Amino acid sequence: MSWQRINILMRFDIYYSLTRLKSWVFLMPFSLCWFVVFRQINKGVTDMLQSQEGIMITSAVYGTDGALNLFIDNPPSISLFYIISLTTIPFFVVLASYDQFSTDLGSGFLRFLIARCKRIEIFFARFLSAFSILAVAFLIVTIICAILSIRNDGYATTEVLLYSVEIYFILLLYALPFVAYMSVISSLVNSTLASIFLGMFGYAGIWFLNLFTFFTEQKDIFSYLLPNSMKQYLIELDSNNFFMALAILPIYFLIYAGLGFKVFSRRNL
Amino acid sequence: MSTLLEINGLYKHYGSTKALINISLKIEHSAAIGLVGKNGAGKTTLLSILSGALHPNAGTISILGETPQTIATTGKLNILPQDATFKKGISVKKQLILFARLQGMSRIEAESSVDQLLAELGDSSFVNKAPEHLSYGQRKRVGIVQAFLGKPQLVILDEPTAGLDPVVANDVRQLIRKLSGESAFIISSHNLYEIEDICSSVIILDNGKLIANKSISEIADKESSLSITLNRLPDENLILALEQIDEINTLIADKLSPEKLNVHLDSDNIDELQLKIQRIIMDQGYTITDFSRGKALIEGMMDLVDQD
Repeated sequence: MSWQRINILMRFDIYYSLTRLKSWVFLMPFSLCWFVVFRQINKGVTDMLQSQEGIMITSAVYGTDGALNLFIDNPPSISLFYIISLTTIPFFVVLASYDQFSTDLGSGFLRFLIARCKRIEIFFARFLSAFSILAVAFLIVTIICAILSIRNDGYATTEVLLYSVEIYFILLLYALPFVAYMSVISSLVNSTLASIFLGMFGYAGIWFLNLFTFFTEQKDIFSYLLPNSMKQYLIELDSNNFFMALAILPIYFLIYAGLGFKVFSRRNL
Repeated sequence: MSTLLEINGLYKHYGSTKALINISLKIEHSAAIGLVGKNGAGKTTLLSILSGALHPNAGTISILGETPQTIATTGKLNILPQDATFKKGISVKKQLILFARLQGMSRIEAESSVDQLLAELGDSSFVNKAPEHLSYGQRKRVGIVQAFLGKPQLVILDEPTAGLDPVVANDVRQLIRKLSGESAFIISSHNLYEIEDICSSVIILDNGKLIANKSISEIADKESSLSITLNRLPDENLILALEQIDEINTLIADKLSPEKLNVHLDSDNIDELQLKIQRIIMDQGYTITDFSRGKALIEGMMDLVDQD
């Protein structure tokens, strides 16, 4: 495996993605979503979260300790950004990484590459380029959120910055297995629409399977097929569950990336 | 020099359809190899397996001593896939530079290597356009340029002239000749005259089976055969009269056009024999509407397929 070839392929793919509609399928709704959220944050929605009523309501969802930790002990704007990000990442990752291979499988472009690169190099390059675009997009919104937090939340700048960095890296770690999940989907189908549809269908399928176990002791057991199941633990910042979830995310990544590569390496191009 | 290509017991099937059946062949070294066969014979499947784009169900392949998986990064093998397209929305020159860089060239080397090859195209200004703005012929020519980038030892060309008008097809053939230089190449085509023109040996596939792997001269006999087209179907008397000539080995009416006779000869004096045959035909009241000496590749190929 040559990192030089991976680097060349990755840079070409990022350049190509940013100059084509492909990345705007992700960037448009992503920007719109955060524009709306940041507008609300700037209007002082976090004051409401820090109020007694706000804490009461959020305690019902995250528990009292969780709510206090998120909205009192830490800058609430960043926490709100964190919760919304954890919720929307599965959707945004589908849009950001649905076309790791699909278009090129359909057009046959990969046949030009296969004579010059190993399959694993193509796989890694495409994975990294999709992940890089996502990482840069999240970096930008994290910076904007940190600026808003410094302006509005009244916490020390260092505290805001450290918390933002922590949240950013957790989000990246959380996004990693989703990008790998999309590498499996994208290796399976030759069309971008089919890739988006199948990616979403995966989430819907898990939700549907969970319905069968809703009244049993194994409730939500199928949720653990996807990394979404770690979301609830990741919100419990600094708890044992939180650290366990952080440790499990790379395992999800390895499983999905391994599966993705297996599909890609065995399929006819 | 290691063997150019060695295939042993190669099988490929798509579901229940058998695309390749027990292909085994060895090519020591040859500058230009043709791969021919009818539609569905397995040509593209075989070339795709050689390039690593398809996995065989069984069998082993050695290309210049490497497997299709390991040869990818050596720069020894390049391919022009039949229906693959460049990425849309980005200039083909940028894509050619990408391919060159993936073959280990620095940016400067890649640019100069691409420019050098493009110079062979004559007017190559179109390479600054995205592929969707190029004509089919221009896309084919650029595809051929990418296949010869970095002077690979073996180039696979899958139907490079398919769908091109005769003038552009001829340009493409000239380009292949010009660029090939030291590179050996395997070219698949339905145009047997093209194969006969460019190649020195030929692999014939039929329904996934290997029919022959021979030099063109072995199949397309240039001297000891005649093709005679008459103004009407030959009757029994004519056939009997011709069969009385000792030097005629075989006399076969063409399957596709029965008024055409394919005559295989064994004589030291073909010219005299040719005159003798013409005289007998005319004495029987026939007119010769077409006459050619030598067996074209297509006839040799049909014979081999029939024998199988």
